[in-house]
Amino acid sequence: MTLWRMAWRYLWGRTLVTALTLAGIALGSALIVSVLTLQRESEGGFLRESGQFDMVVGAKGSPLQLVLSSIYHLDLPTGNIPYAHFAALRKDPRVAEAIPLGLGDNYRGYRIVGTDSAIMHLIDRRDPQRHFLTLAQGAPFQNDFEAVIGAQVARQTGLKMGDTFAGSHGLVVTPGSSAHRDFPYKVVGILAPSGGSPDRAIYVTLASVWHIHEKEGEMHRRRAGLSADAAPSVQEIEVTAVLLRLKTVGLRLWMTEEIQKQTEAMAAIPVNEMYRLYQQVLKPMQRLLLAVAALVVVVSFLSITATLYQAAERRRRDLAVLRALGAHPREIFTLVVLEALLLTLLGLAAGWFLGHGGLALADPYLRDSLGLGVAPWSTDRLEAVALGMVAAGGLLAGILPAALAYRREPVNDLSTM
Amino acid sequence: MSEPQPCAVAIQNCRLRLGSAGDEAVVFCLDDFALGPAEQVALTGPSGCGKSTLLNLVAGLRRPDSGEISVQGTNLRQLSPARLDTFRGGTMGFIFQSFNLLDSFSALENVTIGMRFGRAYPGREQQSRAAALLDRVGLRRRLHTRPSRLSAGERQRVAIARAIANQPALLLADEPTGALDPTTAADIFALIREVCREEQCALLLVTHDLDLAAQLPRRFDCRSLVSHLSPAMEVGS
Repeated sequence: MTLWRMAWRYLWGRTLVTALTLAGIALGSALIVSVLTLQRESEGGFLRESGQFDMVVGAKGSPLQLVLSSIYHLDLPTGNIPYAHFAALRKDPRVAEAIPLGLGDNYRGYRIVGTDSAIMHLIDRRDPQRHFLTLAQGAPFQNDFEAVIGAQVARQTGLKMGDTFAGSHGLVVTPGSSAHRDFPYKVVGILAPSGGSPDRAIYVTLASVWHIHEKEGEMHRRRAGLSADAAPSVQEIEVTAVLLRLKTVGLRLWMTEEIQKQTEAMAAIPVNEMYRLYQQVLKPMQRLLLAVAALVVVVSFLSITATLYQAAERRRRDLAVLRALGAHPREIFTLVVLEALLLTLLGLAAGWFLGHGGLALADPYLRDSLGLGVAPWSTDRLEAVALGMVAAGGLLAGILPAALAYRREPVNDLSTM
Repeated sequence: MSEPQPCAVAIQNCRLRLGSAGDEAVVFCLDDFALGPAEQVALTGPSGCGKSTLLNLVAGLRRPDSGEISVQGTNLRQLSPARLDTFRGGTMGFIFQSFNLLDSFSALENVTIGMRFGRAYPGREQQSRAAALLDRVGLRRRLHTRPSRLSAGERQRVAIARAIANQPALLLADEPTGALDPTTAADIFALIREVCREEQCALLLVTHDLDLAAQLPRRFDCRSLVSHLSPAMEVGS
């Protein structure tokens, strides 16, 4: 019988204590694993997605709010800006791509994003072999009231190719909000899952959004006794934001300042805003969670030490018998350390599955509420190093009781003989 | 002509200070003792007379302050602690009054663990020899039973199988029948003697039971092993 097997049998000879200690290590490891995975994925997800566009131009307000609302479809927009701003930006020789966004409606909580078909041809900066929006089914929208829906929208709402739906006013579901039933959209394309914000968006032509609100404007005007045929002037047409890709990224700061000074719009650099959010809000929270996780692990180590010390004390007779049978003190030492190691490794394995499994379960919620698509089972070197440190800590926790068992004279513990 | 076999145990001028009582030192003293190969000896005497100390010294679990103890011709003093452990595991078997089986393991595992540390048999042979020994002591159907589910007599049978598993030259038994009813005690005593004969193993058996002791060919009275020495006598000795 190997020492490993003996250690294993001794562990399960005290099932309850072993299970409780295991639970502590597993919980601490799960916290470490999930915090590290979230940290990695949020860095990857939030920051990489923010790199798809060099600048966002919108109404003056909070730059972070502008970025969150126009790229991540999370916050409320800062307002609208005249269409002329977009037209000017599109003509600007420094701009490679200018994508207009018109927000205002939702379908069951998913934002209807009025834009133009150029967005369907944008290259994905993370993977230049792909498009920013990759179709899984159907084709890009060509005409007004045709819609391309995100993968999550399709999954959650059950919309399929050819289905029609009516948007509701506002960016979130509010009780009593009216649906634009007279202007239904038809699904002509469904996007492949991206793990990012496009999964939660419904893309339509900018004109569709204008048309709905123009017609509603007509009705309001008619009710107010004004001429219903008075179409909005060019000056009245607005966009919510403009996403920009520049020919030279180095122009970002300069252009941002220029836009702030010369127009009533505001420009934000998504990478900077998200990095600031990450550094100021998310990272301290992650650090706090990591500290809590480390504390749980340290408590677990103390628990291992106490458990093994007690076990060694209770097993004094057993260990003395083993010595009488010919076991070397170093074999007794190894036996106790192996128990600590097994306990730690089992706890780590359970914690790894618990942490990653928990993230897999939380994934849909994270996507819906934070727009954070995580790869729940992904690991990296930092995680391996952190878990390696936990394993080393577990080993150390076993050394004190092992050393005490090592030093004990068997003759004192053999009751007779 | 074959060489004469060494004594299973040879003790000369052995002294071990056990403690003190008032001004006097309590000292274990044994000037001369020998146990021949495969010889069976009963150690008798009242509690506290030094029987168990003698067994501990022979087992190498305690080291004498002075004097020599040899087992199978090997002077225990010359062995390092690690080598002494190995030597003990391969040369001696133990039977305790309180069985001292490992409760977390089955009867079969208790025997194989003894063999693992005795290092007399390679790993692949341990299982089959352990099973054969348990069969020999009448526990064929109890191989996978844990000690807590065995009767006292069965536990002592497991202990006997474990003690002889490494084919030791010397079996040390400390009150092996002390916790058993008279019938079982007689059976166990007979079994110990039988297996010692079969395995050509010397036996040093501590017992309070003078009837059992009388059945062994030789009896060693331990009454004079522990002395109370005044400081002056201690220096002199």
